Amino acid sequence: MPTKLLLNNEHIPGINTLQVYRNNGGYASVEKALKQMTPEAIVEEVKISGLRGRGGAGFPTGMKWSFLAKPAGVPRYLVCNADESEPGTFKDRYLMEKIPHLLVEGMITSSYALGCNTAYIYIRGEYFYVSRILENAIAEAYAAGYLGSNILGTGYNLNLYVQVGGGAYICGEETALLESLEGKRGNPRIKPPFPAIAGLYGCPTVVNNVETIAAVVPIVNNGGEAYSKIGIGKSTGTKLISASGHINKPGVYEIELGIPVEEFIYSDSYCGGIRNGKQLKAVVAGGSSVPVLPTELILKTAAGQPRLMSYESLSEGGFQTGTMLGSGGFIVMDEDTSIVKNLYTFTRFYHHESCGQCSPCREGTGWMEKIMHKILDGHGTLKDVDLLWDIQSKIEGKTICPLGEAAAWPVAAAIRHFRHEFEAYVMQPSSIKDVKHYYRLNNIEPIPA
Amino acid sequence: MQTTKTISQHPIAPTQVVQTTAFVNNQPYTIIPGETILSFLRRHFGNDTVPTLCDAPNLEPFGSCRVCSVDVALTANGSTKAQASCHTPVMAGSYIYPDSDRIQQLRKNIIELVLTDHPLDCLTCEVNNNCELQTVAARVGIREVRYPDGKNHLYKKHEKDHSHPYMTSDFSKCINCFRCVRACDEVQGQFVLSMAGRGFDSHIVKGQDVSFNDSDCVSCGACAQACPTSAISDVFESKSIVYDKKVRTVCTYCGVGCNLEVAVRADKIKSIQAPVNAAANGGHTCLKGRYAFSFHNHGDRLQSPLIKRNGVFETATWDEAYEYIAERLTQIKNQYGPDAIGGISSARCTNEENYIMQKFIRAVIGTNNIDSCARVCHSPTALGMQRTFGTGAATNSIIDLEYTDCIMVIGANPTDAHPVTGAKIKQAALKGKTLIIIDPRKTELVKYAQYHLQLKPGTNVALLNMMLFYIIKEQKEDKDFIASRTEGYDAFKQQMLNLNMDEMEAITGVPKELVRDAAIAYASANNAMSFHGLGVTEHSQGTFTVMQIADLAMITGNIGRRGVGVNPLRGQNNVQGAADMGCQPHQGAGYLDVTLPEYHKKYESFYGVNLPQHAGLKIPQMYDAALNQKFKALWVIGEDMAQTDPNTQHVVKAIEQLDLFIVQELFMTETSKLAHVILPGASFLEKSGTFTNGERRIQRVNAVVDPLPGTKTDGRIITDIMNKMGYKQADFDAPTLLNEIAQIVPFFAGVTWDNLGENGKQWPVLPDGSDTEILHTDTFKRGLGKFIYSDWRESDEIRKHGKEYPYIITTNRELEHYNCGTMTRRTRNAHILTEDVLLICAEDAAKHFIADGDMVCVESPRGKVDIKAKITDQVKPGVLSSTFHFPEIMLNNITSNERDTDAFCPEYKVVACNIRKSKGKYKNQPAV
Ligand SMILES: Cc1cc2nc3c(=O)[nH]c(=O)nc-3n(C[C@H](O)[C@H](O)[C@H](O)COP(=O)(O)O)c2cc1C
Ligand code: SF4
Ligand code: SF4
Ligand code: SF4
Ligand code: FES
Repeated sequence: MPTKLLLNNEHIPGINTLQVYRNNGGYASVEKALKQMTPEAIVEEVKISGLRGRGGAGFPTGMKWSFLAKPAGVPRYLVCNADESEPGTFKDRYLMEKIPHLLVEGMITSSYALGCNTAYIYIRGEYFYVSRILENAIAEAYAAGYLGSNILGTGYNLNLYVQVGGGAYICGEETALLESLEGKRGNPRIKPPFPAIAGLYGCPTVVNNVETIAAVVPIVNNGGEAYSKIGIGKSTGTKLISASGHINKPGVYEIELGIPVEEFIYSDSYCGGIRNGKQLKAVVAGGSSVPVLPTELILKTAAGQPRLMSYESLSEGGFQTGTMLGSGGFIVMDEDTSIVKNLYTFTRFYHHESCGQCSPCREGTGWMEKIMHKILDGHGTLKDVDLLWDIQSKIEGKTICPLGEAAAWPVAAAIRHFRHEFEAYVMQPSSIKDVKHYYRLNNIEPIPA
Repeated sequence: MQTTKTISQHPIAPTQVVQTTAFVNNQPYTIIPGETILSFLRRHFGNDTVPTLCDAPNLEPFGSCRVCSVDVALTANGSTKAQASCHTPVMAGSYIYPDSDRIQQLRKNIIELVLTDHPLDCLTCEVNNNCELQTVAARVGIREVRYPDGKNHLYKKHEKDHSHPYMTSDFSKCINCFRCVRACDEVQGQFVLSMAGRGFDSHIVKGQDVSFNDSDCVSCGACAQACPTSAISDVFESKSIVYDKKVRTVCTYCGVGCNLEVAVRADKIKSIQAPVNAAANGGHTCLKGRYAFSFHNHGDRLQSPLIKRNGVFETATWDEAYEYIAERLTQIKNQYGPDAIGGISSARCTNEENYIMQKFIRAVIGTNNIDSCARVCHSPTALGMQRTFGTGAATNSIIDLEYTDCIMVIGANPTDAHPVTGAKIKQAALKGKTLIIIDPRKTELVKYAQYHLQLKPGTNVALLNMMLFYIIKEQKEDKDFIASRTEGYDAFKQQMLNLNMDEMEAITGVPKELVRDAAIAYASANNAMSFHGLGVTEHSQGTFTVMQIADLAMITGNIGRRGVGVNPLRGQNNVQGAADMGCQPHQGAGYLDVTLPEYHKKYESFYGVNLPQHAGLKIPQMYDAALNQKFKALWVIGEDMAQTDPNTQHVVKAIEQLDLFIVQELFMTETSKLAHVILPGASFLEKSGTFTNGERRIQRVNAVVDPLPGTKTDGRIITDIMNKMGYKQADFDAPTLLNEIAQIVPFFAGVTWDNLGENGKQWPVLPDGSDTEILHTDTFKRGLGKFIYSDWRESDEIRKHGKEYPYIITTNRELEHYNCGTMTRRTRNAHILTEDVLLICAEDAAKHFIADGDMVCVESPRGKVDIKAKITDQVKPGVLSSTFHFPEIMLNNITSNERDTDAFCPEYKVVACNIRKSKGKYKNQPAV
């Protein structure tokens, strides 16, 4: 039986209600934190636990919390990033939908640890129905005295608000999120200053992913030490993986970090193998932004070691032969998949979602899509593949926020590992007049206009 | 300009920097902690070291173009990371490689990407050869564009916008640098422009994607100046105009004293921009300064002297006119004595011209009957502040807005009347500084204010007494300051504490709790500064109100350091200077009392003639004397009293009694129509000299073009007549005259034309040339600051007429026009704001069955005017407001003779009146 810390009670009927949730041990962390622990002690436990941010970057949460500036007389804020818009990622939605009180509980405990009296959950616009589930849970928590003033008679006050986003991927980037939360256009801010110094309304702010905040609950309940023993190396604890693509059992799985990728794909406890008995071709392991890896590199590292579901193992080999755990959006592609078409979908997404603030990303994402479109249309040349490579290399690391890189990495990886597929596309005789016929011949679906 | 930029959003001091050098190409250079890599590099290697596109000298770092990227490593030749230099703080000990091959390639690639989306029609583009994109592209060496289709994706979607009288746009040329958006937000604070759409589809919109004309744009031109391409520009093509020379001068439209850079080609003025290094305006102006210059060669300009014979004006030569004037003046002087003659100088003219005018009246005519139009605006400020502090000028500078914590604006509407200062106040409020507005009207600043004390017009003294009361009662006064720097406090305090707040609340109409909160906010701020305007001075108790504002500053210790003080917002460009130069009947040049023997002697020996020792007449007294047949000749420079002075009929009647009325003017005005002789003067663009702005900054005005044929500068005219009448006065030349002024005006001691430089000097200027940003730092001019209590007194206007005329109409200004509009109505500003309207609240309108746009007859004890109603929440029930920018309305037909008891400034702000829906009878009825 795999270790579960977050989703262990997901199948209990009525777990979305406060009563059932509490009957199953819910809100114990609030009782424990507020009545028995100092804020500093909680931060310490989180540090010990080794918990790393589950939003994608994997930054140690305890360290992030300890950076929070605490000038006197200035409010501090905790903001939960529930904007989850990365293609292939849907774990936060699952968690909030199934066990909304887990997030509410985590928000209370974490806010107490950070000394915040106001906290926000910024939720993706398309998750409007989930926001209602959260609102209900929050209302129940207020009624039960877990929120509001003088919580559990301890004198601690907290107000928790849900803010629904406007439907932009960029608003998941923490500083764009803060801008949006302030009611402005969701453009990322230049850094420094970082949110820990000047975040929401210019005040010190911590932004954490839904899953990160949920993980604080078992850490406070069982202690950081116990949490750190789960997992492998610096990848402690469990992780929610959104598994999708050509597998038998798509869905959200809570895994103990460190299980082999092969086990995750083929075991019946998880993905259950490739659909229709096909062969595995490639995997995007951590959401659309991370490099795609071909079968041989996703199951084993370049050094021949089994690849594990952990931050370190997945990124072993750097971007030459590795990838990233990212947000845990695990997209599996079978042998029939066209990497070129798949990349076109991704470039279209980033073109659509670039905020347009900085020129390399604004123009670069636009051109990458245009060139991909041209290639798919049968008008590409070998030069275009080189141009794609050139553009992506001029975006990475040169933009205001990481969206630019997120757009560049998939392009780089697809060309790096599957250049032959691009060449096959562009090497078609340029005399092809009947594009539709060409599509049929090559099993390409026409591109939507 | 060299600006040192720091990351200002950083609310917490950067951690202590131990090392103070960073390396550029492995050589060490000193850093200033907190500065950006860009300003560090520019400081050491000049402005052109790093190419930039989205950075602009007067805007916060933004980081959108990434062209300014440089390589940064933590160790010598270590692994580098590209960092945008414009917003990344320079790190001590870091290694910076500004031009590595990698970086050059990166810049090239960015520009190439930007160019793919740019219509390459440079040769026909407005800014060709003057385009920052072109410059940067050439610099990074773009040779080819490798991308497939070069069509601009915004070409079709966004047609050129020519809807507005001044602003234009062509967004196919936009490179998405956000400079315009930031200029509109950070400089003007109008929030008209924003970026719509995402990513590749990002594009600039005005308002809710409307045209410039339909947007809330106030035509300040900041966006056009900021835009690096021709995407936003103006009808004058200011950015790129081809010019023979650019002349720096000072705006004539208000006391902010914006520096202007005027482009001239073939002796024609082509366009105006704002120099970024100007201390007064730092690259910003309003639409009057930037765009309203076409009046200067308008066909209506008077271009020959005119003498009225048998009721009609006949053109005359200058010699004929001088002859006529000299003869008539001599005759009147001989017959009635010098005191039957007087002069009104102009706060629009230069210091040198004002000086020479008062010298002419005093030394040549032999009377102290010299006044200036400052009488009708800020005379109570000068008097009130002199009584309390000893000096009648702003105690601090505009730059103090950066240091203050609390701003109190009393009876002033700076976003319309002093737009550049108004924009700065707005910015300060947007940054979270406390803003208190005391005004009967909901002015634009009220939107940004914490406290709006919307008092009934004419109750300033009562309201300020309430504030003083609460500060004393809640013991928020600065006891040390009061003890060491002031006198008269104990008696003042006693009288204050006797006041009944409920009564005061009823008088002012402002809840006392609100007054209390505002007073405590002002008193508790670390540094609080006040600004006041004509809403303070143009009242029967104007001088007292000014003294109370000074009392508030003293009682809270807000005097004599950064970020505090009492700061009158001067209406006209040289109100300060006109008074400094002695255009006042009781004080000569430099405020020395002409009735005191020592000063009288001093002036006599300086001018080399005998002078009268009794004070002369103030403007309203001149009218009264004229009506009593005691005053026979009046010489006026550039003032349209018949439209702007209150109670028009009274003024006109007085002028009609004169034997000789001489007017120096640019245009035929309501006043010049009454003249016996009209002398065509020159506009500010045609003359050199100095203006002194509201913060005592003496700035050089430089002639941009020659006076129009047939006209002369006002100073030259007066000098000519002085010589004609037998006084030896050297030819009019600003630097020479400035030397003369420096010898007699004590606080000009160290001023010379050359040492004023580009940004001028703030007086007092010591003999060594050093100037003064803040007054009264150690002691007051008069020694101890003096507390003088004054009771509120209902204006006679309301006392006498309030019952019969239950409404109060107050007068105000609009951004687009300057005073009576003589100049601005002759520019395209008249297309933007076309008429005067009556502001009236919905309740009052409903009571009289008045709909928005209806003509309303406003009747006062003096007369009636018809004016179009505009229903608004800007005024409270019982209060109306209007402007007098257009002669069609002649609002001053209804204003009164009431005036400040001490300084004689007319009470424009409280006029008892009644209203009804008009029958259209009194429409367009000019005074003459
Ligand atoms: C373009 C972009 C989109 C992002 N979207 C999300 C998101 O949807 N949810 C999320 O938790 N973090 C997202 N992030 C990461 C956040 O910026 C931030 O690192 C994270 O919320 C920190 O939380 P954690 O430390 O708990 O992971 C995104 C980052 C980028 C650059
Ligand atoms: S990298 Fe892209 S998404 Fe991020 S700020 Fe720049 S343009 Fe916006
Ligand atoms: S002219 Fe001024 S107000 Fe108008 S859009 Fe430009 S910056 Fe804004
Ligand atoms: S209009 Fe001009 S200033 Fe504004 S974003 Fe475009 S190029 Fe930049
Ligand atoms: S100048 Fe630095 S990013 Fe544009």
